[in-house]
Amino acid sequence: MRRRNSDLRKCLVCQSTIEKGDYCDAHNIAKKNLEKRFNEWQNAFGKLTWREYLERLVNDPEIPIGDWAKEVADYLLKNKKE
Amino acid sequence: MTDYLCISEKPTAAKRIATALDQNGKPKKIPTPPSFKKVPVWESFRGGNRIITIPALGHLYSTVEDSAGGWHYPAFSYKWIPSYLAFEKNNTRPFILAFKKYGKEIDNVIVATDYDLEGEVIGASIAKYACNQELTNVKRMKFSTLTDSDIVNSFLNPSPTVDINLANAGFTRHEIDWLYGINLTRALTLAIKHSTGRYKLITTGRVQGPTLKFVADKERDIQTFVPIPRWAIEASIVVDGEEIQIEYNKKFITTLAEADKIISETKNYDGKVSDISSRDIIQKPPLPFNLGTLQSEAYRYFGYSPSRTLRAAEALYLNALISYPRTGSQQFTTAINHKEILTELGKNTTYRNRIGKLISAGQFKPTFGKKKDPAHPPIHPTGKKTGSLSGEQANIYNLIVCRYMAIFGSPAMKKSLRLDINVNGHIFYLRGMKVLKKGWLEFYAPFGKIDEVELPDLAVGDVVKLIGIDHRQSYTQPPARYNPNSLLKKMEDEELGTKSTRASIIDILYSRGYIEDESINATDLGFSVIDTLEKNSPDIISVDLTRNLEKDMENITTGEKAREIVLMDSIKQLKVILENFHKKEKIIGAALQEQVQNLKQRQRMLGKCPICKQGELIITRSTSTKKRFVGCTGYYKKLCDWSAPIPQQGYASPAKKMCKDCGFPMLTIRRKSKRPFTICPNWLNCPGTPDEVIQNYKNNKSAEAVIGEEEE
Repeated sequence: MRRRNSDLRKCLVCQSTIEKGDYCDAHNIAKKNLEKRFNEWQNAFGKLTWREYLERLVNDPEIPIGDWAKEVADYLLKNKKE
Repeated sequence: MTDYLCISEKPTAAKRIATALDQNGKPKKIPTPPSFKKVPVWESFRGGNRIITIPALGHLYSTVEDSAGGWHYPAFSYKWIPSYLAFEKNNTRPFILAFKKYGKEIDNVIVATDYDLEGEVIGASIAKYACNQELTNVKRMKFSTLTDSDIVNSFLNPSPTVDINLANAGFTRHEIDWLYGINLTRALTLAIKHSTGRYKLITTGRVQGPTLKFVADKERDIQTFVPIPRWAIEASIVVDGEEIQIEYNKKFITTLAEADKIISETKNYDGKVSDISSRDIIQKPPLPFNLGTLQSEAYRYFGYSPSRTLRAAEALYLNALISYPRTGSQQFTTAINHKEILTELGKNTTYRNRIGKLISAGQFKPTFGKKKDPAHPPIHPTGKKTGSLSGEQANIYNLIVCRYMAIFGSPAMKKSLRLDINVNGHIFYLRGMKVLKKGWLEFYAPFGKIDEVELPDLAVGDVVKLIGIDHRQSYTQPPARYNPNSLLKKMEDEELGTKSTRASIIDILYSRGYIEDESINATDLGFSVIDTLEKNSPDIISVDLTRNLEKDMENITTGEKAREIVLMDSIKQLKVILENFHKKEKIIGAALQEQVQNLKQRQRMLGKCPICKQGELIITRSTSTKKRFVGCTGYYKKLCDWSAPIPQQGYASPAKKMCKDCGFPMLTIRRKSKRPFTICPNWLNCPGTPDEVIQNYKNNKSAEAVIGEEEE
């Protein structure tokens, strides 16, 4: 069955066309990396909420986070509730 | 008297060969007809024989499509024709005319091009197409240096034919590269055209694709990287009034709580020297240079790109100062007289003392590695007097000579020292280094230098005062980007391309706009191409496929595989790739076009507007005046009307950094032959803009007056 244009999905972060899910491949990897590292950040600081974690990543220019990972963190901060 | 026609690769080499072959060292330049008057045709006499030496200008023949029908794929039909017919602005016609004229007159053709894959193709194609010779009748001079003795020796003892297997491998490589390049480029470009009706040339090649994938993969790792926090313990002690930094025995601490605990447990305590240990380290002399290791060392010590090093080395080779540089060999044959070369080098005052030591010790046995190259020995100096050399060539020559001396040296011996300090149960330490015996390091100087570090005069049991201790937070770092040298090394490790082609493939990726900067990153375009192909046609960028083809071509060189079989197999593989590609052509085309569009968009976006904090600042043009300016996207929603003029000349792109004076996202302007500079788009109101610039602008009403900050 042919897919209609309206069925095409867009990456929530960069709006590029995707076949499935919410993110394009690049932003999907970035999101997984964010999730994977959260535990280590919690261990490192003892107590840290998901929101605090994202805020640090987005706002601290000293943190060497990749651009795509930062874009996802920024999106999550603005669009999702903890 | 016998006449010989000697085919050389370049004009410089031709002159040197003709001079060496002439028994008086004075070859005559023969007057030539107007049709090839600019081609130097040399006449030499030796032992009653007349030798005509004519240079080529690299490849005089090229592969082109052998069918009409326009831009389509697959295209599997090709032929070899003169390069001047294949390409516009190609100046090789006079050279072919010269070879044709003398090829008719002289039956004894001898190839004297560089002895490698490309040299064999250059020589064999001229002998075959311009001189109408059967390759089995064409003799071959083989030499590894352009010294008189090597040239004369190779002329007096030529191989009875050109290296047919090597020539076949060379022809096959050209044909397969042509087949892959033309078909993949057309497939990608037509995919966009057929899917969107737009024309955008997207090029790729057999080795380029997988090489670009290395860079893109690394870029993906960097851009999706999320660091982990960590803490380093920083402490210092005072010994004899001097402050000395000491290191904690764990380089990084992973939790803040543990770092705090270490500080609290050590802060008010003195340290006690608990152990002093040492171990001897033997460092063997290095291996002789091949092209890869020379390029690597030249990058390390001078920052030269691999292609720059190769250019300098080739110039040195053409001046007969070093052996042929395009070699992979790490083993010398017994035919090379090292004592003679060292003796000649010893006449140079820079090397005299060190050479004297080698000669008096009778050290003429070089080190050797695993890699062999039957055609050429490792890169080494010839011993010929240098005369004056340009900075770049002088550096490379010095590096090659020092390395050559070092391979005869004895092992160096070093002592590594460690002094442990116990502070309330926590171990800190100091490291020292002492050279016990310089060995080969003396010969390699100023390269391979070791910094000696002395330990303070302390003994086990001594008490030292800790004068400062704290922890410093840092983060794990993203993987390092490739530089031209490490990318070349990666290609070598993955067996992509050949020692002769790798550097130029990296240059092509730069020139096509797929990669940028010294610390190489994939441009959005480069990343888009790889991303799309990875999803839809991964074989095009498959490292395995390319590596297997390289092996097949190696097998042609050794005679283990027939050229026709390798070609047919390649065409079969390519056919499958193209058929699969064709099935997905529309999807690929649409994806590429979208990526290209996104790329154009991203290239205009500077960042969040600091005025309305909702829109994005973009580089755009006025619909009425067509002038370029920076404005806020909030304008379209009637949220923000901030805008500012920017320079009209040059290419403007986001600088990805903020103005330190006003916080606006900055932009970079690149102009041809000028250094790029970054400017603040808010320059009219930015406190960092000098008054005279504002005044100048008000007087001229031109944004050209903007003073930018030159990029490092």
